[in-house]
Amino acid sequence: MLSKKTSVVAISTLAATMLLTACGSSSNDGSSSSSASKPAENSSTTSSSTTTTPTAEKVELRMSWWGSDDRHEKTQKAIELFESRNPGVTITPEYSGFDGYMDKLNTQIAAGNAPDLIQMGGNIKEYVDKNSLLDLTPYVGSVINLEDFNQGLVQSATFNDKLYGVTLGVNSTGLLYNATMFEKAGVAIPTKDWTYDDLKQAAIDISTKLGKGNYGVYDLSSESGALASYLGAYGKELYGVDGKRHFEKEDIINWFTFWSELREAGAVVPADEQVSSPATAADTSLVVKGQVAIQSASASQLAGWQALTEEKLGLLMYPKGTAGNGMVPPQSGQYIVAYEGTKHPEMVAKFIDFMVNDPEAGDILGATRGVPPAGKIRDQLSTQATPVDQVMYDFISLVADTAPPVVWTQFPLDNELIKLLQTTQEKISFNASSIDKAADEFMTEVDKLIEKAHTPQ
Amino acid sequence: MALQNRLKPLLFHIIVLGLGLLMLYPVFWLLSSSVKPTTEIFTSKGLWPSAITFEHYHNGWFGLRNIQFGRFFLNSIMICVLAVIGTIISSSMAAFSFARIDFPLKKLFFALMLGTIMLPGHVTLIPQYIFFHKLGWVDTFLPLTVPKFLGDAFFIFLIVQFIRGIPRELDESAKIDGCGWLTLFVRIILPLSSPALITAAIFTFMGTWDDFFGQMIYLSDVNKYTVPLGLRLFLDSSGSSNWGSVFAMSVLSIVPSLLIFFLGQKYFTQGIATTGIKG
Amino acid sequence: MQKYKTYLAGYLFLLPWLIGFVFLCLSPIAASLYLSFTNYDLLTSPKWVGLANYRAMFTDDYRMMDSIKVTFQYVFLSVPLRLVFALVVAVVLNQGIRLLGFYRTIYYIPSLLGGSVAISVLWKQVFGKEGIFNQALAWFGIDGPNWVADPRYAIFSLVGLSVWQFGSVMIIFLAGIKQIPGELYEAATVDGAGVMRKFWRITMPLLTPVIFFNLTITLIQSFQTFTKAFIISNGTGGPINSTLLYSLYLYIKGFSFHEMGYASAMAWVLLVVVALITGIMFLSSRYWVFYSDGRE
Repeated sequence: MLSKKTSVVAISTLAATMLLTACGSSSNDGSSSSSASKPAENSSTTSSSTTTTPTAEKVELRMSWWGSDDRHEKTQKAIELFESRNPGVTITPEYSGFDGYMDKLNTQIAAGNAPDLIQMGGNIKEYVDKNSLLDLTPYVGSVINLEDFNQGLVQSATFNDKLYGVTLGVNSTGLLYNATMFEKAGVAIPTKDWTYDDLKQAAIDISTKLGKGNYGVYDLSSESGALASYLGAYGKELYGVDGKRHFEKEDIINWFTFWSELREAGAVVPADEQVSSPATAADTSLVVKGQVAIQSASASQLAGWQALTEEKLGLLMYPKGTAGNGMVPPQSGQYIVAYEGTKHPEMVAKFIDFMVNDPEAGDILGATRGVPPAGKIRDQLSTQATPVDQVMYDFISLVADTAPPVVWTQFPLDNELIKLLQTTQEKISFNASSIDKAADEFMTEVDKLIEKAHTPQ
Repeated sequence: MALQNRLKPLLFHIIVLGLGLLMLYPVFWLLSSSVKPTTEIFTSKGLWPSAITFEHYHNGWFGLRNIQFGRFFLNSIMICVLAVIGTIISSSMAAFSFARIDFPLKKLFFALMLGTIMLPGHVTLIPQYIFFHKLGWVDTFLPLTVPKFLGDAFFIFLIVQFIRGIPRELDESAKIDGCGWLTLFVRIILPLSSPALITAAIFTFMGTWDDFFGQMIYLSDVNKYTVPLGLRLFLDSSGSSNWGSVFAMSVLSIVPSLLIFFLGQKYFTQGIATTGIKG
Repeated sequence: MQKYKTYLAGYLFLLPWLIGFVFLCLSPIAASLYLSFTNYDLLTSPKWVGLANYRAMFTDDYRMMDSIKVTFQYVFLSVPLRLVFALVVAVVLNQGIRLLGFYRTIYYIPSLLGGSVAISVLWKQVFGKEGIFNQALAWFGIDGPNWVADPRYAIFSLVGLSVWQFGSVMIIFLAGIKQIPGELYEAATVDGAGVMRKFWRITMPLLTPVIFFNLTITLIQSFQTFTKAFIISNGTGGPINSTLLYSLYLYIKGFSFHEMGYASAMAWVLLVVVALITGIMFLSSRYWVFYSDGRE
């Protein structure tokens, strides 16, 4: 009896919800789709009318970037400033964390639906090759002012004599060290002129003095940046302007042997701990926790990481080799690029110039994407930099001064190289393969990658 | 004898609770990280914070410009409620058809249906995105909700299995009473398969609540962001993240699913338990 | 006439799903099949290459064998463990004991954390070198390895994670048990049957449709497991490809390496394998699954 009653109640509520959703969802469909399609209509109608009536220019742009809350806030403020100075222009911010950012961008490009303005990492060449980015060359000089820029930075976004991106922040890979641990172990903090032998000695000293569970350095043999500067320090190159590799199997063997010796001496993080506590993220890095003294990092990570720990952190150059210092010159940490399908290339260019050259925007944005590329903005900011930011500014200047005068070329298919190098390092550190065999495999695969990069699709 | 009778349940509770607490360790860790001072989250080893702070909750909720975290909760709840309603209606209808009605090509359709969940979603994502883009649905809730009204293979299969556990005699007697298919479905089959429906509702809610990738791909306007997207606004895995806010908001983000489960579970567990006491 | 009315009813109830199938599923599925015969980098239009992707999978891909091996290991370990664990806990938590609702919720919470950003940090707390799992082993004098990071054991920590999140399977079992008519147990009690006898004679046979469902679905889902491996290995599938589950590798190929044509070919090979296994299970089901509706 009771069950029959409850079932009737169940049925009537079900019927009621069915009715409700039928109405609810349809009305919802109507409202949200109309609100979504309206701006698009507006922009298309207004864009055609802009050519005739330049006084009431209405432009709608979208800009996407990734970051954390601090960058979101600063970038939004900069956009608001730009909008207030350019009545009629609205820039819809589309920001998110880094997870999934590139996947979404790829999907949007595949559907022809990418934002007008896009923040990108170092991998812009891939997108240039596929004709996804707008050629900014026509606007250089007239709209985008790059006179105040280091030529290397402009060069890095120039392909076939055309400019496709503008650096938002300069960054440099180097070593991040835990000064507190150096002090505890009584080891002097290295100078910029230290060598690979010095690194070996310091790592061994720190790990023996501080005892079990503490290590001098992460196993950096899996870091492409570390390998590049090692090769540079011995007169070689990971990848040259001519599109070829400039190193031999022997160099790779030397590189991995160096780290294997350190591993046998107990001075580097053991293989398993390196996997479970990778140095790439602040939440897992043992340098932040005060158990490892040295790791690779980008200079711009310093401020954020320092905030997470009471240990004192600092930045350090990669060591020297027989050919001097092989540091990779400061790179663009992030570019701003324009989507090839944008309807308002001129306004896009104007905004790009605003992001990098406007003093007020510079004040708002600060160093949220690394050191500002324009000299005068950098000077303006350095007067008010926090001590931690100052360390970053100084480090990047130092790297710029000491990097060897070769034209640095990014390895194509960088993603795949990073993965290959990591697997090679793991095979060696977990004793799954001899150094010689792993080096052989590495060379074969690197050559395949280079060949793949040069094969036109 | 009497002592043994009292010890046995006690032992049972100790084991079940002990195992449960072990399984919950990560949750305690999350909870404690959300109230630790920032410099302690990753550097201190113990669960117990040296000082308790609620600033992460405050910063996480109010810390974003022009938007509060509550907005993400509202959006998530709206999408989830629509998804639950859609899934229950459409999946139970299809399941009823597969389980009880004979029609041509039934087996083929059933096999095709199972086939759709065997292909990894990553390769259909882009064609699907292009389709929704052509409809003008990108950056609305529609790609995330409308498909739910069109049946989900997982739940259809689930409900089919439950309906097939209901004896056919009930159908026959209903038909003798002159009931049509609709009445049979609504009056008899739906109520009797309510454990499966509640299960489907809970799973749909949680699955939709957690669906980071789909929401990330389709939503671009921050005002339409959901909880998983909101959480990652603090998370720049290529640079520096605001971990305090991530953990604090992660704790809050579990609450709705927990509530739904706690409220829903009695619907699929009562019944038999009462006879269990007798046995 | 009656017959056609029945057909009509069948199709009408199926209509929402049919619409979704035709409009939402069919064209993306067909598109992915087409893409599997092309070179498609996402940014430019696909170029036809015939069977090249399929050939490359089996002849020119040094990661593929690793990935296939790991995936089969994962599936054949995690599926039975997850099912048995979930069934045992479901039966135990269905006894008439106080605080059961509370316990059930506790045991479900791990599944709630599902794809949470915190899960990889959490998992290391449990299965790292100094994690609580090894601390428990230490009581028995066993010095445990670093389960999450050692290439020999990483797959087991992934299996562990999948078993740990057994909550959804458990719920389906609970719902299945609930559907068994209580009178059957009462009658058995009158006949003097014990707990074990009731479990084997009543619970198990009547639960077979649900067991079959859980087995099939868990199998299909395990072959496609992505998020767990992605989170645990930071998206790398390492160390030394030891957690490079098939779906993770497919994603890396498609989205990180921009080889969506190749990824689509991988997806179709997976589809064929999983469909074969599922087909065999359906054939076998007529021998061990008992439906109360009296049909196969």
